[in-house]
Amino acid sequence: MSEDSNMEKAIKETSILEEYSINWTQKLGAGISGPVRVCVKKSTQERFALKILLDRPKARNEVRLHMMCATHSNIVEIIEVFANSVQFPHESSPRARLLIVMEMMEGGELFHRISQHRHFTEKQASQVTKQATLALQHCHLLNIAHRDLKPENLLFKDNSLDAPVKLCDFGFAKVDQGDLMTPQFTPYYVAPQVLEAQRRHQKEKSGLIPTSPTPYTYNKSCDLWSLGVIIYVMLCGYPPFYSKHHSRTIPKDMRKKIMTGSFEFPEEEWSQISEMAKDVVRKLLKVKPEERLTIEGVLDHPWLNSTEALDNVLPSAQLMMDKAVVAGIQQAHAEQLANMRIQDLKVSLKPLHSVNNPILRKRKLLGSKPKDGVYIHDHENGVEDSNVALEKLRDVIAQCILPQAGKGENEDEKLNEVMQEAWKYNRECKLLRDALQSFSWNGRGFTDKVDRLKLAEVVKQVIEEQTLPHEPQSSEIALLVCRAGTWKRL
Amino acid sequence: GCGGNGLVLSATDSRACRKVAVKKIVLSDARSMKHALREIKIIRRLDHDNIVKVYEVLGPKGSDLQGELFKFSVAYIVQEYMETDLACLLEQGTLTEEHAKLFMYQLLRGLKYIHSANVLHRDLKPANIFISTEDLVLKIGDFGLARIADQHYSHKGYLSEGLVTKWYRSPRLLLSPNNYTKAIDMWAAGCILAEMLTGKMLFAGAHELEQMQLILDTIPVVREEDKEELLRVMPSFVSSTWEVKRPLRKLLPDVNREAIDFLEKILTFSPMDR
Repeated sequence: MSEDSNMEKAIKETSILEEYSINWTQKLGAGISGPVRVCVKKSTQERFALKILLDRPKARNEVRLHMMCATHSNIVEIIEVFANSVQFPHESSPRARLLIVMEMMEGGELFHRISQHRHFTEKQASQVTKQATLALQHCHLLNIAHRDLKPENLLFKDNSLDAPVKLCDFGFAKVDQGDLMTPQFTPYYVAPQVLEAQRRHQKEKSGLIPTSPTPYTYNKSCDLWSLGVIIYVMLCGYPPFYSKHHSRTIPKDMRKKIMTGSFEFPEEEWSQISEMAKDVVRKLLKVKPEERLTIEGVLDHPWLNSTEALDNVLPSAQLMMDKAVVAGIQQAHAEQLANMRIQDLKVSLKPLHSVNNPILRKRKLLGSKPKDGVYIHDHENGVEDSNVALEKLRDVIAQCILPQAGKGENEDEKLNEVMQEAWKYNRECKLLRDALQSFSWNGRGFTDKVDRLKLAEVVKQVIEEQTLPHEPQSSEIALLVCRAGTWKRL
Repeated sequence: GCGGNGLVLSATDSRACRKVAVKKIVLSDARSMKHALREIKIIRRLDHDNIVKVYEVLGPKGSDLQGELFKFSVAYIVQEYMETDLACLLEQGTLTEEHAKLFMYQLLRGLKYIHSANVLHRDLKPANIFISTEDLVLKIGDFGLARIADQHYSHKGYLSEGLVTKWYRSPRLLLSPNNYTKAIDMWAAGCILAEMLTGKMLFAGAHELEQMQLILDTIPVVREEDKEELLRVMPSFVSSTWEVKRPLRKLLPDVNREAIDFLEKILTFSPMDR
């Protein structure tokens, strides 16, 4: 309660523009909660990072947890937070938002750093690991699980060789009260317990298993699994759990590897990496949380405390340069963020010969494959003209219904053009002629303001009148010839 | 499941005794409600074998929306239920060639219908293409709702390196985000065909700039005006000889020649050539 009131006091109601100028077009990156931009403090000309969130309970929670953690030197600092109404160019009105001013991390992301420094050493990797672990320890001491630990959320303060590493993006963070059960993850770094929570969540949802009074939960140790994956990638340049196919969701083979903790140390890259480093990775990537190395265990591990020289250059720098690998990882991230679901259902397709598909049925009725370039018509010329007339009428409906993005005058001209075309092909239609009179149509244009929805309704009736005596148009054109004439016929 | 535009549930229409899908759309302001309802009117008028049928649109607790356009912040779209979508199928690997041909044929058939009504889909992707596993009927769904209902910020300038991936976007749309024509649906259809035949996304860039790079590696640029625009927009990424590093035939070695020929004609850089 006292924490909440302190947090609420810290959020300013004054306009951020009084103290900062904002570069709206320059985006530094994107977290789960949205893009991060540059802002400059007017009084000191200092540059900061600005994250803008819609003011919602979830956003307030993110701010609260980040502020609770941000007192540590390995966690990105929150300078101040504003609650303002902000209107973006595509919006029709301002919306309540939280604007979070954070310290600027000039050194960029971990992977980017590794790919730039081609002589990234095992010692440097252990130093990064130590700082990330200290940040994580600080969160866990406050009983906060980060839940989205991944290289993109580890940033360097600046570009110097010994720049500190800091943890950012608390969009998924949550207080661990024994109730962590909502599946929150990005692929490659997800702990098996989170996948299991996801699986049970889905089965409960579809009714395959009853909703349990004691739901399956996981705990802060999911962050330690993610840490193990990050160390593995830092050392060799590719993730331990992967699939040969880039996919929009976690593929089955990758999920199985995660759930069973199956990974390898391929000889080509790992022969030059120390046994101590492998030991840390093995002990972190334990499926059972109780067997997993603890935070203190990581900090006490010889790999992080060795005075022995670990100057061997890691293969990760070269492999990190491989664009396909990075692109694959980023693609999986992006897709997973956009589509937080896993498909369990197995769908199989019937062979064509045992399927009662309308297209296939029509082909059988026709008894042969269609000739090249020929539509099969009921009537040759009449239907052609009729099709054009109907198409023009449909254009009128589309023009009336489509959202009007442009100026009113342009839209009115377009409507007149489209209506004129339709009128040209439908002059004999009495229903249309009578209807247009009530809309002040003078043969070339509308002289008054048109109620577009009513006009669309009237034109629809005209189309229905013209199509009633015949079969619907989609049946009249029985087959469509593919654009590429040489492609095999269906 | 959860569609991109909100929660989607399956249900049974107790009056009509049919299985339906009910999609909940949260509308945050009057403008997006107005746009969404206009899109819904378009959808309800589309009546074709290969288009998902929308039965009705309701307000909260099943109330009729007639005449009360601006009173609600949510709307429910009651539409035809389809067992699965193409994204789920492709998740399991490639389709057989005959399945791919049947689906592509039906996709083009549906597109011909909506384009003849001067309507653009604008967000064609496997997740918006629904399949009935009973009779292998394919239906196009989610017309424009992604654009109307998801009022996310869209970059109005040139290529950006944002996290949003646009794997089915045509080169024209990458260069001019608001330049919507029927040709962009055809580009997306071509990418989807390639994905059905290979099980892999054709151009899976991590961001728009890389998306364009992947396209340029494979699709030749033949028109001078396109070359001039590319040199203006992304000069350091265009090779001086305009050679494609991986033409479609090499990119998709296991796909037969006739399908490659089809793809080469539908996946042209310039929308006019498609």
